[in-house]
Amino acid sequence: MAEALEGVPAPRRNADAVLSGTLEASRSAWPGDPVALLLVEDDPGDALLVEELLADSGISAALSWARSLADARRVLAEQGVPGCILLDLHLPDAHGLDAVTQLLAAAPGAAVVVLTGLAEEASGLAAVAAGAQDYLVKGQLEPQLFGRAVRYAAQRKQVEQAAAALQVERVRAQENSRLERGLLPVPLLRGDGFEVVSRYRPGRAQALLGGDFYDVVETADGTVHAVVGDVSGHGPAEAALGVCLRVAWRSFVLAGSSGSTLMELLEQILVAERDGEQLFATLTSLSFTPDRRRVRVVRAGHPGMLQRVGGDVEWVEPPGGPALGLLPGLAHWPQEELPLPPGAGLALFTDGLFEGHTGRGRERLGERGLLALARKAAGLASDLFVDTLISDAEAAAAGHGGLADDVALVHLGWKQTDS
Amino acid sequence: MDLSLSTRTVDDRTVVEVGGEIDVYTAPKLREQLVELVNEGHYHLIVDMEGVDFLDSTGLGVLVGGLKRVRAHEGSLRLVCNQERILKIFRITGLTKVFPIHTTVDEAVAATD
Repeated sequence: MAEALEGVPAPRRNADAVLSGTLEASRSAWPGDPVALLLVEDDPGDALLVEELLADSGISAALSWARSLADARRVLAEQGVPGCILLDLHLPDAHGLDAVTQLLAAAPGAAVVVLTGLAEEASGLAAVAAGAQDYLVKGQLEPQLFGRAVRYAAQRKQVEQAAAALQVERVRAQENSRLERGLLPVPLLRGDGFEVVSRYRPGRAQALLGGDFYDVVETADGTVHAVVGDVSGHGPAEAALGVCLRVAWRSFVLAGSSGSTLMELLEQILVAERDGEQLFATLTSLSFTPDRRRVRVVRAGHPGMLQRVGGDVEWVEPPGGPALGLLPGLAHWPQEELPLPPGAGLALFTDGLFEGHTGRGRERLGERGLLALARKAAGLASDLFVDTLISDAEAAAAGHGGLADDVALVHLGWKQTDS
Repeated sequence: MDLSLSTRTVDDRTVVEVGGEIDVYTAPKLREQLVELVNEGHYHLIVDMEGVDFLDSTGLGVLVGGLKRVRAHEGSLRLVCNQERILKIFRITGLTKVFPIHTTVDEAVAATD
């Protein structure tokens, strides 16, 4: 107890007040004072004593009196958990540690201060070990000590609860970052002839982790494969499914799968792994051929992409099939082959990039708005192009608090050989 | 960033008129409405999207979820939509193959599979 009491502002304030002869000042209410107290005590004499101590302590809390644990439960049910509960260890229906544990079970958030007899210091300490905040010895009670114990118990309980809430937040943040790492991997490239610039920007509602994912791998024949995908909805289940699909995509691609077969396999995985039947995923999978002149595209319900050549940008949206999981076993995904002009870059992204609000009304940036932003940034180097595109989209949505959804954006292209 | 919902019965069909934006924030409201209707025994739904300004993938998920629910009772979920913006989303994601899409509520009410 002694070391736990260090750092409490109350004693020093009280001491100063006493020295300067203004004891009344120390009795004014503290901002952190409990507003309600519950005394659980069967002896009317002791109850009266506590009432007087409270009046002299300067704490202006309302005191309720329960004569038994059963009585206390009734008061708690009616009035809620007070800032502090004073508990006598000799009740008609509960004794000692049993009284402490039963009371804490009935009021888990409560700050409990135990009242013990003169020769019972050991049971006071045991009560603290069992979850009480403090103990007071009857017969040694005086207003300042009483007030300090009550105030400190209530304060410390609040700090404990805040720390517990913080810990929950921390665990969730760690979980989110673990999922994010799973969604956003390091590209698996063999040489340095291919440039990948990727960005992931979580949505405004941080708690809503989305299922956006991307990946890039190079197979033995020198083909560079890339994917961007989006699991519908938000939350841990969606994010976990995103991780699962990304790893599945990487595995199937490395195993030599492509085109409609690749999509069929991914859909099988999605259907087997998804948490609810309404979950589906959109994605675009690209294969840059080793001759650097073509790119094969398979699109499953995913928006188009931006193609950057020289100083110009075009919206490219080759034919595709449905999102994965909509028509299990029935769909087909055509593979389109597009010519890749020298120096061309392709930007793949998720819909969060262009679905943000713009202006004051219900306008959204939209595909057209995104293309206009991209054209403005067309001449920039890939990494600057990507960053500018995201910050411009973000700026357009600033009036609505920024982009609500997650954004994944990957810019892909062969590096220009020393020309 | 709001969503309005109203339902009415036409013959043996239940028409859900949706207005506003169906996004990550408002989609749960639409989900609740569809779940409630199915729980009450309405298995032939028509979702009128004419008043919808915006639809995102979460909203699409809710519509697909609704479809799965009514299908479990051998019901149907038809959409009414003429807006190019919204139709494009259905086309891109392949949902035009999943949902019957009609130009008017009357047409949807009269439709049989």
